[in-house]
Amino acid sequence: MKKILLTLGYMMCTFWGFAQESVFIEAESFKEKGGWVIDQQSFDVLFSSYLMAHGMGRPVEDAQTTIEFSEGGNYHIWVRTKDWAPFPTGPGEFELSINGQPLETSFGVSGSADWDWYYGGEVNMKKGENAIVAEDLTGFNGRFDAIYFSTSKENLPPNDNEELLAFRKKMLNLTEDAEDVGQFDLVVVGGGMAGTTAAISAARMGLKVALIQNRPVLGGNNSSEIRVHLMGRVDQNHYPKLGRIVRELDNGDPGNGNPDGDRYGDERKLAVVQAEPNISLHLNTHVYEAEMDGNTIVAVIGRNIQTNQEYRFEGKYFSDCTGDGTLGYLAGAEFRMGRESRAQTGESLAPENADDFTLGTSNLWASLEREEPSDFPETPWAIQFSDEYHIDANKADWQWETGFGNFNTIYEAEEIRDHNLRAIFGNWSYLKNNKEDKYSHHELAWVAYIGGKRESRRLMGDHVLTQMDIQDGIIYPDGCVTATWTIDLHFPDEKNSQYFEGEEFFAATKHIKVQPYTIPLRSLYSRNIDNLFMAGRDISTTHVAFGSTRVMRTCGMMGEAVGYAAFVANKRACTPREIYTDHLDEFMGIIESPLNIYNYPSLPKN
Amino acid sequence: MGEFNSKNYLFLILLLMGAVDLPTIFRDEGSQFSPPKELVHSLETDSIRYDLWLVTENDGFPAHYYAEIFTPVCYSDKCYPVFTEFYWDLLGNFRHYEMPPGKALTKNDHEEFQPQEYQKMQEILSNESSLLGEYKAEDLVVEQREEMAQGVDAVTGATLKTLQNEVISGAVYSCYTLWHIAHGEISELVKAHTEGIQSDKMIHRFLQSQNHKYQYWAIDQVVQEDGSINKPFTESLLGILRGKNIFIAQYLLEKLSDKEFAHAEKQEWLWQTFKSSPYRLQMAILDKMTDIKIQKEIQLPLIQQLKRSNPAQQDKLIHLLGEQNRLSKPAQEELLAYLDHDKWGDEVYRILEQQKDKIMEVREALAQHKNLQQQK
Repeated sequence: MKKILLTLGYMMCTFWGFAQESVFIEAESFKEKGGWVIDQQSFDVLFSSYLMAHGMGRPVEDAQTTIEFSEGGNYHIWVRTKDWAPFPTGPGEFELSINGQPLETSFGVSGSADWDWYYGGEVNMKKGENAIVAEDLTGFNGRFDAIYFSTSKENLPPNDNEELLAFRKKMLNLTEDAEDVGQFDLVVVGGGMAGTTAAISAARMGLKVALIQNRPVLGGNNSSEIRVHLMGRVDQNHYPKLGRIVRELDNGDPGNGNPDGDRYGDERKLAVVQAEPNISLHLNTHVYEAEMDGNTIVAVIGRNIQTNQEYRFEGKYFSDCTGDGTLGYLAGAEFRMGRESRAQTGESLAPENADDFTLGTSNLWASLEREEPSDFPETPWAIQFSDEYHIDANKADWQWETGFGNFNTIYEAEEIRDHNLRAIFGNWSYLKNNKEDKYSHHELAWVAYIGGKRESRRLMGDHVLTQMDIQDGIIYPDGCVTATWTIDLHFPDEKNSQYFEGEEFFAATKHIKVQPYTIPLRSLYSRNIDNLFMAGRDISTTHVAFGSTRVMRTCGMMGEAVGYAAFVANKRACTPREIYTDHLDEFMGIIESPLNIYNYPSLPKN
Repeated sequence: MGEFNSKNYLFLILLLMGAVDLPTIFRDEGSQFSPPKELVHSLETDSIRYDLWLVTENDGFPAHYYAEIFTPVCYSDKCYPVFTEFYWDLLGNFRHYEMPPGKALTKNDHEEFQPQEYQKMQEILSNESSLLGEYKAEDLVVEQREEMAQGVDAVTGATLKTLQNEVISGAVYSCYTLWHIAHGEISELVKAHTEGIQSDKMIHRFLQSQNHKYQYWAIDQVVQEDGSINKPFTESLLGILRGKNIFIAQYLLEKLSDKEFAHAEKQEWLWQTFKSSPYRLQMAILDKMTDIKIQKEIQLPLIQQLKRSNPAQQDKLIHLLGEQNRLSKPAQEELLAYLDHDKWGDEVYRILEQQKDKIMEVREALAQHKNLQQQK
């Protein structure tokens, strides 16, 4: 019975001392989502996902659920929500109905951007099953986190996110109940290009692997949810057999933000992973706790972003392929975030003083030309444009980017995404209402609600890759992953800065050309966590070097290398560091060709 | 009708079919009428020959400039020289080009432009921040040769790819030369000439136009360094604050002196403007009002706005009220309701405390409030 309640994602608690009844419902656990989407991007802030009505200006279908009340009667109801664009009030208005009766007040238009509990009045609940419907009124990203019923008006849940986490756990009975998934040789956290290739390469070497991804699809920035194309080359490789898994996952190049999401190959990636018997795949699972034994990770706890069920994965080795460096952070790994100073790294491209500047996050979008003209509403709550400044484009490319140190890419991910949406919708509204000649028949076909992040934490390894490593083309003995992309450090577009200083959403770049160079193994494991690898954009580099290593074919090759490294470590029962110190030839032999692990007799020579 | 060759017919057919969005690039002689114009400048060098004209409207008011231009556009002899007409607005901003009857643009090997390439040329020339401005002619040719020799390389291709959007294949040097004519010396000449003939009438027209470049220029002419306005322009100028261009409205608001809003009438006007403004301008108006002594006519509406505002605006409203010490009786009465407010209670107490002419109710409420605080 407990399990059933858990999967429904709510719990009724009775506090006998006060004779109060209370019921807590997570929005993301609604049985029917309708057109609402689950957003877990702020899990590390809110410790929860939420539901969002991402309709690009058209109200989405209702979300609905049913809940059992053990006691009927009058209950006070609160909804945890926010006004995501309080300028002065936002567009995210929605209503809740209980048993077909709308609450007197609507939500999402308070003028305050802080998540909070909003009182919805007193409602009469039946004993037994009750129906709740969330009706989106605008299609512009209204959202809610949870609903709370209580017989006492004084019994308001906490609003502080950490206190609320404890409260959620208590109400959902999650406290000690993480379900054990099993023991693995390698636990890969993050299912973008790097994580997916890491899992595949390790699995093919015979390791038992768990691959944990916090979205319903694999591929990360290259998935249909974000739609960034793969860059970096695999054909100029010092070790040409590395990159083959990347090729398997590569679905062709649809460019950035293509309106046809199928072209990014979610299904291909999933099929390749599902074909691996050694991979235990866990989609929709966000890792948010690490169990440590000294400097060794013993297990990670992930939480299903929909049901809130918690799962525990034990592992010998772990790989942080989260992009954000989430696992490293949870484990206490050393990391850097932002730019180092020139004095610190000796890099000519580093700034004089260290700062918090990071590359930004993109929410790509595209429109399509239709046979019939269409309208788009005025958006006074969005960023305002005029003839003097607007972006005259029918789709986005990489330049649509927010961050640049104005926002923290991890802890303000929601604000960044929302800022991007305000730029997209404001600009689109301007084009549709002021440039009818050009745009009357164009209609938004797709707008990403998942932000495509470029830069977050960089976990520190035994080697920190620098601009000099790249430009001098130093080949270290453990140099294993070949990278080819320019040093491509975005900055706010000058004109965009002139109009939106401190809140830029459009980027420019300068490409510093490089010759193919190698990334050493020592940049692919943590210097202070004994069993932690990393692959992807969170590896051990300086900010400047990251500008080149961060592209996704290159990240995928890092994943392949980490899979092979985990194989060597597992076979030799050693730490990642000891691969470098004691087993480097074996590792580099596999990088040269995985077949080198087999002791085939050499063919007779003529 | 004069000369009307097959190319013109083809283009006309395309136009009638709706296939071409025509930016008045081709002009046949039949459609030409001659508005009044005066010669501003002539130049003839090895690389360019042109006459620059100021065209006026029928009432004699300046309308725009244009130049009849002759220039060779490539290093080799593989393309024909160009005869074209360029148009600028009164401040030297390039507007468009036209091809005189019988003239054409050509690419390498004398290949004539396709209709869409004329259109593309218009887009290229209209982009005032084009990368073409950052290149030297020689660099372009070198880049092109490298590209030809090596193919498009992903490692080195990023810059080239960007540049490819700024030029027409086979006519790179034409694009470069014509862009630099559109945005070069002639543009400066035009602006200098307009400044030499500027008048109050011109400034009024500029302020009232929908052309933000004219408006910026005119604002800079009539708003003095201390932020005061030359009187005759007040109305035209303030109209910009209520216009559709938020950027110029903000620019103007920042530039104007607080003294311009000293009188009640102007403050009421500004408050009405606030009500119909987009959020960002509303915030700028509240910032502006913080430095102004608020007249009694809008004190009450300001306080009443608290209920209709979001937290960020409420903070600004409270802040600007905190700068006032002569609030009217109705304003003090209205503010009293916030004396026990969770967030602003203390600030409201301070605001009321600093009033020079406290009404009886305020004096009593403050005393009571103080007693209560002491008891706590």
